[in-house]
Amino acid sequence: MPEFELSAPSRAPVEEVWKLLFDPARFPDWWVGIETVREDAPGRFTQWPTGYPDFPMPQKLRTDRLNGRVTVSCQVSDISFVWQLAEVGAGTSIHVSVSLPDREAHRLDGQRRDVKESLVRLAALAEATSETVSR
Amino acid sequence: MLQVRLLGRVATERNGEQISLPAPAGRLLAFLALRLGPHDRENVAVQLWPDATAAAGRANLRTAIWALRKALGDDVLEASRTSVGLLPGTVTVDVDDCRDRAAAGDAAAAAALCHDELLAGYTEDWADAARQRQRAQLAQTLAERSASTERDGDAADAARWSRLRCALEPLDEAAHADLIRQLAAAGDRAGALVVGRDVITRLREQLGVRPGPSLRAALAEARGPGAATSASAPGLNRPLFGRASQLRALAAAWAAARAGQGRVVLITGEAGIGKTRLVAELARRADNAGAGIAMGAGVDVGGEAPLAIWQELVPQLARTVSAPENANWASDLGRLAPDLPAQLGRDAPPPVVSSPELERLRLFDAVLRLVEWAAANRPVLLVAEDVHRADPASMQLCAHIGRRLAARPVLFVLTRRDRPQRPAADALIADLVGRGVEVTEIELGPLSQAEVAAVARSVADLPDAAVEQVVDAAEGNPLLAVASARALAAGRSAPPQDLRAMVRAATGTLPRPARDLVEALAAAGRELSAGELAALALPDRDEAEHAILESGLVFRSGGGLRFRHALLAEAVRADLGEQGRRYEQLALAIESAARSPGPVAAEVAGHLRRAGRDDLAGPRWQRAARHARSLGAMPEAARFWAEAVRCDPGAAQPRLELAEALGWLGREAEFEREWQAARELLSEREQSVAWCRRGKVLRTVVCNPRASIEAYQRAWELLPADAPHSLRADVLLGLAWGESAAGDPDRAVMLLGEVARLVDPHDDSMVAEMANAELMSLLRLGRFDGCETAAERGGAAARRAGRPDLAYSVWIHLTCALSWSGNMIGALRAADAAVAATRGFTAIELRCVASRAFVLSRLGRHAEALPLGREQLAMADRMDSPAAAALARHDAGLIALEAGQHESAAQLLGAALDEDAEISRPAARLARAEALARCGRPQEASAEVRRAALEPVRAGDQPWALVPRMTRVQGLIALARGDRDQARRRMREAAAVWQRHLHRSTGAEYMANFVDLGRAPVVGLVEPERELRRLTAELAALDDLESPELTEVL
Repeated sequence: MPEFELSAPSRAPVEEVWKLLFDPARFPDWWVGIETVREDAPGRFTQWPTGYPDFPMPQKLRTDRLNGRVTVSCQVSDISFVWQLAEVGAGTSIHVSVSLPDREAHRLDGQRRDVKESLVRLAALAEATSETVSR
Repeated sequence: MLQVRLLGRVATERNGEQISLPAPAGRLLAFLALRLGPHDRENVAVQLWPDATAAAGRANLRTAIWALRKALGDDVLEASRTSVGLLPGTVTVDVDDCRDRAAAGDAAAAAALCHDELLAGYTEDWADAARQRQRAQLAQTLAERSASTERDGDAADAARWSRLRCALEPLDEAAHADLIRQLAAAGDRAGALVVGRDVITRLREQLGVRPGPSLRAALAEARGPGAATSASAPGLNRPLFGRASQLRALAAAWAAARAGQGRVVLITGEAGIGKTRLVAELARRADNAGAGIAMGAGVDVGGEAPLAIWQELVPQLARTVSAPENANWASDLGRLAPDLPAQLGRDAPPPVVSSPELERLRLFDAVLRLVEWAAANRPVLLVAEDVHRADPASMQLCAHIGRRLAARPVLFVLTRRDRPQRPAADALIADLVGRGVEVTEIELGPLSQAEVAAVARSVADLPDAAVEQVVDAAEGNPLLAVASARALAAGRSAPPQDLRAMVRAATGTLPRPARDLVEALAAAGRELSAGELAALALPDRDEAEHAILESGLVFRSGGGLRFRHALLAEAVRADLGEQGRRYEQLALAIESAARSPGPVAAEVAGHLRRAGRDDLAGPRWQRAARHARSLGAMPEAARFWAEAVRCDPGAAQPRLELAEALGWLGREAEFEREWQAARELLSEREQSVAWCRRGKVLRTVVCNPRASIEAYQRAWELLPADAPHSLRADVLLGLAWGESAAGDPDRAVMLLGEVARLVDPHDDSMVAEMANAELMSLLRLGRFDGCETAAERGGAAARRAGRPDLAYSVWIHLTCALSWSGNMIGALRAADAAVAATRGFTAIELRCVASRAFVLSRLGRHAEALPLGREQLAMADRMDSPAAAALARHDAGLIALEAGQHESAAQLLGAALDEDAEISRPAARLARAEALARCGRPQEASAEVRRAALEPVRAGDQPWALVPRMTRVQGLIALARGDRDQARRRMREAAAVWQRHLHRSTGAEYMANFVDLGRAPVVGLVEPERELRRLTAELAALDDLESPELTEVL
């Protein structure tokens, strides 16, 4: 199964990143490729990819007994994103593991690119929120 | 009119003609005639066929009803799917008539009741319990008549009634004291003294006890001034040598306990060092002070029945008390000894609940209440000897009682050997000390040479040289000193080398029948009662008893016999080897002499195992397992079921039971293994039953609704076409419950409709279960309007069925539904109903109290809510449950936060988090952060918010609600720092998130919360509208900096 892992630091405290990660309605603000989100039920939401307003993709968001871990899995493509946060000093380390089914292997590089960019945006948005607050 | 005679030989006649009935039908008629009107069919089947499986019991009952109806016709018997009974007005019963006449003052009727045995020839438990009830009722009637005639000044007539009462209860000291006093008052002083002498003899021979204070006082009064005498207590015929300092410590502990500062004493020492003798000395002093005394000992021979120590202690203690009024706990004690409820004035069986843990807690609480009741008017001495041999459940109950004595006049003495190590005993003491219980530890070391010499001289008039030999041989051990002295007094030239040799020397000269008897006593490892000795059916028993009493190894205790010391029994047992026949004979004697087979089943089975008779042991292990289950002792129940499986590995039923017991213990892998093994033994037709039972374990014990759906679905697929309606209904109900909890609630509603077509509408347990599943479905569907009707129906059925566990579910679901729909007054009514329905069942009552407190808090009735938090804590303490205590602190913290008691809230929530309460940890941390911010401690509040973000999050934590809650708390922290801009920004951000969640359907989260946190989400309910209203008010106050309301709102 094709998969990859990425990490990025954020100067924002962990709670700021946590709020963005646990609130699917905020995903379009930082997750590359997600244009809009509709929350359907606890742990379930539908996202529309950027540029595809007629292409709803149901998603599951599952929290975990492991600290700060959130799994988002696409019900259409079966691509799974496991996010995990750790406190590092005053900031946060953001880690993500992505796995794709074999039939989606051709999207591996694209996903790697998008997720890398998403990590940067998530870290920056959390910092911005934090900075906004502390300004 | 049908006439049923229950006094003497049971008989039935109509119009003077005797009606002949087959035995099972006759037994059923006798049972139903004890109380006219409907009886629950399940209960009747269990009572009449206790050893049959549930299905076989029901089938037996159906056959007996058919036979009874055939013999009596249709006009007297009323039977439905759930009940069966004799119609009042169509039957007369002699015992009812006699009872009424006796109560009206008819002495002849009372005498008939006294002299004719109720249900003569019926030896079953239910008949025995009926006799106990009858005796207790009659004793009460006689006591009342006697008291009333004595008040009227007719002492002779009062004595006539008391004499009947004494005939009924020949060991009742209070009755005899009354009779002695009345005879003396009527001028029959000689008669009074004869009564006194006789009862004292009976008490000594049958119970091995001295007369208590009331009897001694009555006798002293009858003898006249200055005539009181004192008698030495049994077992105290030799003085206590040495031990002055230990006795002082013991006396000091007793004095403190008598003064109301209850405590525990632990006496430790090697075998034979004198622990029992020291305790006997204390008991003598306590008896002189009028204390209630109860003594029990651990036994590790046989099958180690659970709560063995307490099966000895509790009946003794119950004999020292009068019947309490309105005490449900007295019914629960029937699990330990079936005749106790009647003795304590209760005739109703305890209600059935489905969880062994609840059963255990109720039993523990009942024993605690008995101790409290016994200690209400006089001091109490409890003694648990040889706790190094005690079963785990006995130790658990020792700890439960020991922790709660601080404010009561109770001294609890435990004795143990110093070797081998017994970690459970160490843990018990460490736990008591850790909880601040006053514990006095007394170590008994060797006696000095002078003291041993004194012991030797007290045994026999030995020359100095022989005394020196005893001193050398005993090495400071008084038991060895006594044994050595006896050997030398018997003519031996030197003491035997060790105790085993001493015992061998003593038994070697015994004639064969006496050796048989001493070996049987040793094999038993405990005292054998007169009934058990008789049941051994040994030849020349009188001579044998005389011989072993003469040997000095054994003494008479009441009507029975016991070894002077456990070490002596162990020495004989060591020489016994594998004498299978001896153990088999002993097992069967113990069983045949038992008043009820359940409490002795494990012991009997253990002896049969040792005898190599697994064919006989198997059914006894099953009975022992059922008895252990009724005590809530699941580890023992599992162990006994495992033994039953070992005895009959090809039987599926014990394996299924074992699997279920393992499920209760949370041993899931073993549950799976045994369940699978059982299934392989079942025929194709029986597979459905196995899957149905699996479903029940998964939906109740394991609380895995999705897995239970799969099991029930499989049961449905395998259901034979001619499966009984009851099985079909069980499967469909299980499926409906699973769907309502974790599947498709619409399908659940449809399935419940199917169940309704199959079950009797008067089957209250089923009706309550159905209402419960219906409520969960309605909650998940957000259809709150139908909930009240379903709950009223289910709550009433649960009450009628005596199922507080079901009543709890029903009323708490309704509390949730009404809270969610904003009807807090209705929610309070439902919470009140929940508390009322579970009163006395602490483990579930506590949860209902928590819900009630939360609803009151939501209504702003803080003054009523806050004390309930303390009540919750007190209940948790009574349950001995750190988890419940932690939960109670969490709930109290939330209530304190709502009430504006922020320091208290921060402290309580912090403690709950530290104690790892089963709560939503991130939500609790955010609540604590709010409390800290409002206390003006923003830095600590920030740290708590950070910890909240690092907590594991489960579905039941409702993560969608954590985000805006966290943001609002960040706003409060900013405010505490004086940064109003930042506070305003955070609060607006939070309000925007809550705005998105308005009108959110929370039904699906309801069950996630239930499964994750183990309780309905009344406490900590998430209400987006309310959160938004609060934020709006807080923002408005912030926007108006000069607002005088600012401080109040924020």
